[in-house]
Amino acid sequence: MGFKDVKAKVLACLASGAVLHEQRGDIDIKNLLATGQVSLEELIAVIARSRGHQYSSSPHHWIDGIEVHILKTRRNDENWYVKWYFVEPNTVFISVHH
Amino acid sequence: MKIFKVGDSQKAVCEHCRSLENATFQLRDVPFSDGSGVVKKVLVGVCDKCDLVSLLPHQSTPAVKRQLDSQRKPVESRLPAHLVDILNLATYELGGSVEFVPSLMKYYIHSLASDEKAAKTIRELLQSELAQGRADKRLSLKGRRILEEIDSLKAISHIENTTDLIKGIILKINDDILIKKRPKQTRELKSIVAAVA
Repeated sequence: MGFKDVKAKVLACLASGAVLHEQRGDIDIKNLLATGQVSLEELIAVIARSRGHQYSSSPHHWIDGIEVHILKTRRNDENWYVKWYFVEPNTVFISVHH
Repeated sequence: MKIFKVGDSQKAVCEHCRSLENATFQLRDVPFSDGSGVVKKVLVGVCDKCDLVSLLPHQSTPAVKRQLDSQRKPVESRLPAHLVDILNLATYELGGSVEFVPSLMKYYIHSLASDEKAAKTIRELLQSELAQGRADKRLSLKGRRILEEIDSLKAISHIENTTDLIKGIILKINDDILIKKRPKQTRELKSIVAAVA
């Protein structure tokens, strides 16, 4: 899946609220989307304006068949770092930082 | 918004098991990763294999945010009693009660922080006799953006002291709601009061 398709898919999940946040036994205080410090609408605006050169992906460290998507972009004078994977029909966010 | 119920399940990566596992949604008391607090009875996905929390559905973020906000340091000001009376009167004028005072203040802080022209009038209002008086009462404001918006407002209004800024905002509320009864602010705030009543 290329950047265009990944972007369309994550935006569709955000728009429909098909969103989960990965946790490791506790609530990750640094995940701004999980803690409600960034709204779905704010993240949609960030991802919608991102470009292909700001995107990368790699296979999950331990799990075959899961691709981890990373976006490093800039909006409103802030550097954004967004990391996620897809588990149908949802997007699972690992990190949303700025 | 996808809404999960207690007992629903979802596949997810469990970082503890290092594998893709089934997570079942349950109500749990879950700590923050920095140890600063606990979100009680929040819906989370619990790994069926290791029984650790592996997922937070987005529907649970308001509960997480509420807990986080409650832990934030409030902005505290000591004020003359008549300024607190002005706030109480303004909330009654808008159809609300004293519980609406923090929301009224936050509305003004937010609006003024993005309106340089209006923000500059606060400084003039501080020259009023109403700005004077013994500080007998306390006003406490909490919120996600309140500290950053107060800082912005200090910069554009050229008021360095937080208590002076709060006094100026209250006098602006007095001017807009009680004296001039400005229709735009009154209409918007009445709608907010009605929405949260």
